Amino acid sequence: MYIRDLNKQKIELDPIELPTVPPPAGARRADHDLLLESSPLAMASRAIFELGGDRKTATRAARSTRRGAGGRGPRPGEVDLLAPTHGKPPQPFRERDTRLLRIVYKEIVLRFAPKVPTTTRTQLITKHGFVVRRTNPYEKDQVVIFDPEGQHVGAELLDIANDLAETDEVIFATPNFVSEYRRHALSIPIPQWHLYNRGKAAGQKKGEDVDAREAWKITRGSRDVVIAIIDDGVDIDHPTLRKQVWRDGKKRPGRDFFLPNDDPDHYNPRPKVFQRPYDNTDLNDIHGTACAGVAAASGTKCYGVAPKCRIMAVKIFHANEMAEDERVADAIRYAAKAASVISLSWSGGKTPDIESAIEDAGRERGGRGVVVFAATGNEDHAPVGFPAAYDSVIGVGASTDQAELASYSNVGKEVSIVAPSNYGILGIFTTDVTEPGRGYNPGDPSRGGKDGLYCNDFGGTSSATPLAAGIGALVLSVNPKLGREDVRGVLESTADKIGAGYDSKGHSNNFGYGRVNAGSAVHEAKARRKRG
Amino acid sequence: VSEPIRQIPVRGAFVVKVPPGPARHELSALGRTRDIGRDNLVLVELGASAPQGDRTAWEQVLNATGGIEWAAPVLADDTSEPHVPTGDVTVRFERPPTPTQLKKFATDHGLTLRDKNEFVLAQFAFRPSSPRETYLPDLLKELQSAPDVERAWANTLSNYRRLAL
Repeated sequence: MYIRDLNKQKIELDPIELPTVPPPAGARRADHDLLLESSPLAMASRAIFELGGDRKTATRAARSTRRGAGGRGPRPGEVDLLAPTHGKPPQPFRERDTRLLRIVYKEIVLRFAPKVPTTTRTQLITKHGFVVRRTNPYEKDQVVIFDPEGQHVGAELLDIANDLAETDEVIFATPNFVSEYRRHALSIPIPQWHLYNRGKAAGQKKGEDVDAREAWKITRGSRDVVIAIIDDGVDIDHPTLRKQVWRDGKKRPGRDFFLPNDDPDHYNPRPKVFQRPYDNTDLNDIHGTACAGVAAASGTKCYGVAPKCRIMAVKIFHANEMAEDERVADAIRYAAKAASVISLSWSGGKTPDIESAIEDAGRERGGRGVVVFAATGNEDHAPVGFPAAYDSVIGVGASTDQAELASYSNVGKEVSIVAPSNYGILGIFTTDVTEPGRGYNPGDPSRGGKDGLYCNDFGGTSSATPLAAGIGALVLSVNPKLGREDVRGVLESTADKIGAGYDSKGHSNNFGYGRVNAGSAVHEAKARRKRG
Repeated sequence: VSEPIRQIPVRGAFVVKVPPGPARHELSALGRTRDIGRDNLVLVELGASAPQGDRTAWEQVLNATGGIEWAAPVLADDTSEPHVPTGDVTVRFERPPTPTQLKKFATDHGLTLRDKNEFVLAQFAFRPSSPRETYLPDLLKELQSAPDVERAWANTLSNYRRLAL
């Protein structure tokens, strides 16, 4: 079962059986009384408690409801939520992605599109025998409806809400859930200063980051927005990446275009080449995994900037062996069939096939174009490399935690934006390959942890690129109708003007239009969606 | 707007398809050689005594020893980045050709169809039917000016730099 979010995208819900057992031993007496209630909310709170939710939250929810409603009793026309259940019970679900509990009982929250006539609204509401319980005091187009006959309750409300949500007159319709919340969700690990810089390391400048916290107030990404990492492979078994991995219709997790299509390992996009020294990028397939983590890792130890988006693993390199341009170009075309954003943390010579592939990608995503980000290069202020210099690509340079241009970052009119990376005080903390003893951190606590699953000194324009690409994915999560040049416009117009040397159009050859700001970009994308 | 990407022969640098053995050894008399490590391809950089003309130099390489299947000049883009031809060419037509049109196109230009592109219906990869007799820059010029061809290029191998520091 599912509900639809504001973008009419599905949030999958798995029904769970409501527990009927007595409350567990050890609960205090007062809690017992509440938990033993047969009212819907008490049952809901008991469900939260017994299914692994936070007991204090559950109890508090039930208590406060009793104070608010039960203390004075229902007003005329109100339904007593604490009254014993008659007929169908509340139905608890777990959100498939977050595993959070969502409990549905009697009400639907419904927001109409502006200017929908009252008669149409009434027709839609009464279609299923519902009536309005209350209008939202802050949003006149939003109402809470319920079935006074009590026929449509519980899981059935999902179908009715989805039915309403599919009409053009309704912006959203969702059961009025009692939900579990996690208050720790925004705890960005301190080493990930590029997302939220608290200035904890000596010399670091507080606030010099991409303002991910502000963006995450609105979105942490949508699973429908896929970021393709076209590189030397992605460790799709990594604990903070594996849930993020996009799979095709046959459940295959990507492709390895370095190998022929008929090779048995072609549909395995994992890193494959490891050679001594194991932390050397040129000799090993360790680069793509770090890039993927910057974009969309999701775990308490490490977050990507778009932790709810998915990663598409596309392998084109085997360490530093020469690659066929035809295969690299086809990898871009393949990615563009399913991804909304492509991240290229590499450069090479100019080739007509890759140029054509980037143009082909511009016709995908229903004609809106897949947004391609590429690293400008690390040759100490040399001209911007290819494909970053190509005009349909967003060229991403690197800044530092000092709000300066990284000394290696290439420069020129093709620089679109910069994003935080290394060569300031600290490098970038991200995912590392899971193969023991391999990767940027072979298992050294000072390099990101003894388990070797993370590294703390990733960098270069390689790191800046998936960070910007992830922010592009957040923008599309909020406003999927934006075209690829629209996304560029959002990112450039909302970037922070760090450093100096900007011309009258706001561009600098060093910083492009400035350092990308996830918070401002997501707000702008949302505003553009409202403006239509 | 980005300039169209060009593929320009690099003076004195060739890729040669030659099986391992004495023939490969004899190539070193022409200049520096380097095994690319795939498909029996060897890079040859001619010495100072190399002929001036690109085509004359190509003929010299072809005739340096027996057993050479084909040779082609290394190509460079406008940033002087080298690209090593694989021997194949790609043609993107203005619209997807019929099988008959495709067959005629291949015959007219001395090509053998290698495969159609997985993602673009109008794009096909070909091999010269007589690779030893085919001078790649001439073939590209011919294909690029053929009717109904949107674009044609040599398939190449390139070095890519992953940009971590």
